[in-house]
Amino acid sequence: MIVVNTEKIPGMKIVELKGLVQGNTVRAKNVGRDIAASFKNLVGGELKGYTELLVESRREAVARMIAQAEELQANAIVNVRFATSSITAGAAELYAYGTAVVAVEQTEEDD
Amino acid sequence: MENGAPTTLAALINFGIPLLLLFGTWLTYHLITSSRRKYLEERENYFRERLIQTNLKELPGWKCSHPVMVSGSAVIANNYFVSFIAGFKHLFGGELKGYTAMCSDARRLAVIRMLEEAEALGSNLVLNIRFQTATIVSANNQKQTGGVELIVYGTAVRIDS
Repeated sequence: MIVVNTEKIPGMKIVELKGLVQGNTVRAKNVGRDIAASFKNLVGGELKGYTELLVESRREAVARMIAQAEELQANAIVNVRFATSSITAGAAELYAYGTAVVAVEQTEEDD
Repeated sequence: MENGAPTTLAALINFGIPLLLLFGTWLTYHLITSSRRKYLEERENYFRERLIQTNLKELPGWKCSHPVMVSGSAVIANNYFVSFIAGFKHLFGGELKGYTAMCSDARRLAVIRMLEEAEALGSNLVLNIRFQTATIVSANNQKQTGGVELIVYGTAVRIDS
């Protein structure tokens, strides 16, 4: 599965449009991390626990999006976008969406 | 012994009301979501063959005409039972499935409303779809979620093939 955030895939030609695919997740870290983060707020610096939370959520959302694209028998997702929204304190929604397409290797005569 | 009755009454009120509320909201949650999912699936199946959705801006080699901007929105409220479970999940971490479902349901509902608008215009393709979580409606307590509000918009066009 090719996942890109550009409208076209360099060197490939989009031959079929499968439609919009999306994946989302709302995740929270455990209470220990929340407490550690509130301490970190006093001194500043990166909140590693929450960075990790975002990484996990993004992976999960992308995996769900790819699963949807596979169901539609697409081989690429173009124009991928991410959106986040905070749901409650310490939890964030991550949403990934893109267009599932069928792309083929571009040959010389197409140009 | 004499104040036995009032204390049981107090205990009943203290524990009974939240329990009743939890059970009641659990019941309504399942009733509301199952009917909503049924509606969503039905409408999505209906639109699957009729309208193509994409967030691409242009489609090389396709002839499009009659562009009109279409949009849809949905606001879905939080459920007491779901936020209660989410409160527990907060202690251990992990996915808050109730909230994930709430967000995706709101999104699907908004998309369907947009597609209905597009269909009324006689379009068969929606281009450049964008999603916006307008506000997470806050309840009286800032930390508590009241619900989710979603806006989706795109450009409906006709393909002349």
